[in-house]
Amino acid sequence: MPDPEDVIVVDSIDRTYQLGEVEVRALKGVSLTVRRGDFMVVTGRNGSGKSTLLHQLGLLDRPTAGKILLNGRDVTVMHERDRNHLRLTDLGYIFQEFALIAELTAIENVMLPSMMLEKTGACRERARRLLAAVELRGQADHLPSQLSGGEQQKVAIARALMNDPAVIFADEPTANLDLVSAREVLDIFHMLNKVADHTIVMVTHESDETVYGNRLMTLSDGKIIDEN
Amino acid sequence: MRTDKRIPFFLILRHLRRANKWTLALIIFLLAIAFINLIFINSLFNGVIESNNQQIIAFRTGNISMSPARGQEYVAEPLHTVARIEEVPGVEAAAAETEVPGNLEFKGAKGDYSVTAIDPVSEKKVTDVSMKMVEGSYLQPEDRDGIIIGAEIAGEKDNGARHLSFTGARVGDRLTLVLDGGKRDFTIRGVFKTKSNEADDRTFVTRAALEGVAPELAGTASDIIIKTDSTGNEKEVVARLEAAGVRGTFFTWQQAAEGLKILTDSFVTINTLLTVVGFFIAAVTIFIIIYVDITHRRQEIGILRAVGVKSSLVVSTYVLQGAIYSFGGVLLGTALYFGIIFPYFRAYPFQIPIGDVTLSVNPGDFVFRALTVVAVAVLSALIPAIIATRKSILDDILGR
Repeated sequence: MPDPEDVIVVDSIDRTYQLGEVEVRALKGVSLTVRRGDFMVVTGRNGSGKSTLLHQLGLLDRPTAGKILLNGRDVTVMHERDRNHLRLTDLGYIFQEFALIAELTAIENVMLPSMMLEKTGACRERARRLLAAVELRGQADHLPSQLSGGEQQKVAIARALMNDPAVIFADEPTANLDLVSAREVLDIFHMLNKVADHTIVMVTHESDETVYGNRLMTLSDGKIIDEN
Repeated sequence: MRTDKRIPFFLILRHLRRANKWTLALIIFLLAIAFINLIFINSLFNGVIESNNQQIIAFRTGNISMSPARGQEYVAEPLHTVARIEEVPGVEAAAAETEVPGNLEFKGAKGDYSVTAIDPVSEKKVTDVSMKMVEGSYLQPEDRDGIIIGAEIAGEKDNGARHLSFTGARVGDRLTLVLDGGKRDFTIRGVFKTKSNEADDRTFVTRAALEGVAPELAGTASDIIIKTDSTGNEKEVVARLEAAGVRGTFFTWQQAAEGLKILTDSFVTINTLLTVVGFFIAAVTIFIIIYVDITHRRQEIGILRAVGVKSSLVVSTYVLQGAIYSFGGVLLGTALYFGIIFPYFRAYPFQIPIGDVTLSVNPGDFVFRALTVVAVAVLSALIPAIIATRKSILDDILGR
């Protein structure tokens, strides 16, 4: 009987890539559990497999072997249509490069996921509140090209929160930001976890960012080498 | 309507509003050119065939020509027959013609030309030769020694329109008509130029003048030219003429055009071949334009999928975009075609031996080609969009 507090259970997943004639094993039998309310920080050197792990958890990729349970459901064998729905309703993903749609304003980028589920007026209102929460009230109608890197990442965070996901994944969210913006973004994650009780899994290679999490996992060569 | 159906419209409206205007304009312009390419060749060949048909009706046979009944050499009592024909519903006017083989002599040059005797007043009602006089004037009913000749016969002084022409016969010059032993001098009253070689190879005199040379032809006609009140109803009018007891052998202009069937068939074949090539070029052009555009937007497709937008909606977005681009291309192409190209070639038609050729648009062909452009654009968008949504989301986002 799965524990309802276990949001994600990863059971011995492998991820192997074929790069030309070379087979790259990016993940080797990784197992972990993310519990509700966790702020798990995954760290490791470049090429350790941390982003690959996050891609599997965020349903952007499928493991070669093993399984992942999200709220008790095996998502590794799930039809892509259902995985898509889970990405929409249960998961929020924040990319290192922001991944905003260039032709949409900040508020339009934020409201886009919820337009799949709700009427435009309600979407716009909540998007406006979320932008205000990340201190971008005045930039709601700006295009991504009119925003700084930190502001773009805040828009991406607001978008990830739009459908009130069970888990938020952040893939090196501060890598392209200056120190001040990075601190602001990390403070938002801290607030989301502590105040709003959001479950967060964040990948970073900045050792000073590990203090924001309540759990730390270190990967090396596709394996978990340290966990606390 | 499910709320998610708004997503493609939401995205496209913003794309159209905020995308690079020059890129957007260039895409639509290229699609317009591809569309114009498809309709221009078709219109040109339609124009050639239509011009040929118009020349036949206007300068040769009218809508219907009536030859003598089987076993008869001439149409008897032509004036009476013309009057009967003009009473038949659907007939606008009729005129008797007597065409006889003859020989013309001018300043030592000779040529075998048929001579057609007409009543100038009634002839004006059925053919347009009177409107194509380039020198002098048309025949008057009482004229007994005047002749009008086509530009192909008159020729030009320095460069004959053809080697058998009179290389520069002018109004006021006299030429000799030899008919079956009879011989008589005529004064050139006018020269006409229809731009159709076949029509411009004719000569006309009045019926009174012909009777002066060949009295035995008085009161006869070799043909009666009939103009109907609209083109296309010739078969019905022929049926009415036969029902009214008008005795003769009827030929519609379409049957007369059969003589040029080899020519028109060749044009149809060339048109078909060029159309197929045009379709192929247009399809490839449109495919490349749309494919490149969508391929460049794979990251956007990846982002949409990553945030949970359904693949079907992603595909719909780009298919709708392709349809809008192509619709814009068709609209722009139509505007350019009817605003610039069509009027230009009306004003400055192509000049070929069967006459002036302008562009002629067949509405059915036009709509088919417009739909083809839209269909190709939709298909061109569908394929890369489906490919992109079948790839890994990460590959889309990272452009792998």
